[in-house]
Amino acid sequence: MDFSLPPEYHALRRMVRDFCERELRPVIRQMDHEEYTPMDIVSKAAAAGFMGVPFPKKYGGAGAGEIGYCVLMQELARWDASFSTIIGAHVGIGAMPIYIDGSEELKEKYLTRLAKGELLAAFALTEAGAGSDAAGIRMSAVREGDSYFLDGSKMWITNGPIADIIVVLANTDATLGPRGGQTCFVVEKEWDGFSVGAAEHKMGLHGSPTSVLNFDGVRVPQENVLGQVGLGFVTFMRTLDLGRITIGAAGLGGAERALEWSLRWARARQQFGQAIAHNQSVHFMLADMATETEALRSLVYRTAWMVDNHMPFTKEAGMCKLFGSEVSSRCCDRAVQIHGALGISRDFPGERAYRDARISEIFEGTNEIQRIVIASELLQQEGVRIRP
Amino acid sequence: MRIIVLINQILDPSGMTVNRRAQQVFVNRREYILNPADLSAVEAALQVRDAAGGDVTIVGLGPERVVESIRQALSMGADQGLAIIDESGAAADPAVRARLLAAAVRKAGPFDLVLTGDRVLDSDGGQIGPRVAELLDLPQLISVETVACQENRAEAIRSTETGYQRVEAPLPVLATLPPDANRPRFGTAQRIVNVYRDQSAVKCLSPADLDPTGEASSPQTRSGGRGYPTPREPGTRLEGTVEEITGRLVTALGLGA
Repeated sequence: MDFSLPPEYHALRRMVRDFCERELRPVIRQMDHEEYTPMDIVSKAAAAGFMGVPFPKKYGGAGAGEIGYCVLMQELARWDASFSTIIGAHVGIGAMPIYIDGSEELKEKYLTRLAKGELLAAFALTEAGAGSDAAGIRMSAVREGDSYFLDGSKMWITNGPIADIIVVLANTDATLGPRGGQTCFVVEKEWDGFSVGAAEHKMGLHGSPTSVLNFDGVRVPQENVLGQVGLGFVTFMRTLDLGRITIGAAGLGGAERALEWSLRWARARQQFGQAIAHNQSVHFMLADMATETEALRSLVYRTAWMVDNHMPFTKEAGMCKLFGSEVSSRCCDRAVQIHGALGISRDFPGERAYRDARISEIFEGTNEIQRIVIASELLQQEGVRIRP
Repeated sequence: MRIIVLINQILDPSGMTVNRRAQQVFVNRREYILNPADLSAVEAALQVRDAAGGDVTIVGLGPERVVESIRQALSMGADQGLAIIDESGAAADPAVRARLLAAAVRKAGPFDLVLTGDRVLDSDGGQIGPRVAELLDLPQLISVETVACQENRAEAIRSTETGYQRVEAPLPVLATLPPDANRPRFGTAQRIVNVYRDQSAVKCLSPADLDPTGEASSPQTRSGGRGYPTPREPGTRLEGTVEEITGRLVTALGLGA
């Protein structure tokens, strides 16, 4: 049994860390305070090869697999969850469906450019009436000759305002629903009828833009059907399975950072004539943070290893998302508590991290949905089939 | 244009604490980094290559772990890596180090430009560049901020207390760079993975391959122990208007009438 990461992942981590310190750090406050998305830093991240980390070299990627991608997301989220969300939405759920189910033509046309960061992607599933009930989408795709015409609106789309291409799910046969009636399409932002709606103003992740996307009779050529007609829901669910692992990795980065801040402050802050690091109440918080963080690290990297070794991972991926988001929220909460009044000051980066962490318990499948996924997998092994 | 960059690896100073009272340096985290001035030299070499064509060879000397730092330079875009693996510690002596590096440069084949850092962050000796240049009989451009090559000449700019100097020398030449000369580029994710998965990315030699008689490896420096500079008396702060300060300064310096 060997739990060590091969050296290339350490080198990748060191490079991402240098990048964050030099390029990202100076703009983090501005991103949060002004809801600013630093497109120049996104371009620099692309030049450093961040957008292609998990993809094979033949598509312009680094070939670092899911483990490498988890290293990237963990390090980015240590610094700023908004930035890791921009990269994650692009790589993990925007470009990933093209990689897992796209035709060779689609991969050549889009994936190589997405992996180099020449194009940015978004993943559009959620609608006003379809959130956790992802199969309940209303958006329609009607076939006419060699094309499909898309009508409807998507909501809460991460990277919506900055994406060049959108991977979108629509009903090709509403009577069949997710089992044969939903199809996945790749849409370019310049196409007639596509427009970006209002941006959301969120509690956290201020640097990561989120918006409504409108599709008003957008004509999509049939080459841009992603995967098979009618099986789009499966593509979307497989994509989300993978995305869940990296939410765990990002949660790990956030939790680690919260612990670092807390350790530093516990040593520095003097009360009752000594550093608060001597208080047992603080010990308990630090110990819980460290224990949960280590448990999360093991879960995330083992699950990534399962993916890279072609093992089934749906249940573990749900656990990564569930546990990762909760650990990161709990660690940020304790960091705020240890910092006292400073903890809620906007001068303390943990205040931002606390707000940023909350959404990860909701997006890419709420934690309630994750529990259903995990339980369904468990019961399925016992021969009990759960239908949501 | 064939460029050779000589690099050194040092303990990451951010993992150390200096305790003045105990007269000791405590190493809390034993991590090694590419010497910052050498990192500037790598970046300068890549810039010359990108402008003039050619290739960049990284030469590192140290224990096995020096290969890590060579890989870092390769992931930034350097073309070849050569490691001289010395586990004996003999190369801590600047004279030995310079002789072995000069031998490695000769072994690496014909070259136009040799670059290295102008100092090593740990010992701060500043000896390697000039020593290697002397051994190879090369003109030396020391502590220059930029290097550019045109036809058969290298042009460099050096910042001084009073301004900038432009210096030039015919190729082949050795130049050294300070740690803040440029902003070294990041390695790319793809190159990092390639460099680590290619077992032959860095060629390894031992000092015996370069110095079969062992003559070059005999040390010239002897350590006389470690000490701290004596604490200095704090100076006197002069306050007041410009005229008052000037008057007091003249008196303090003993220049008054």
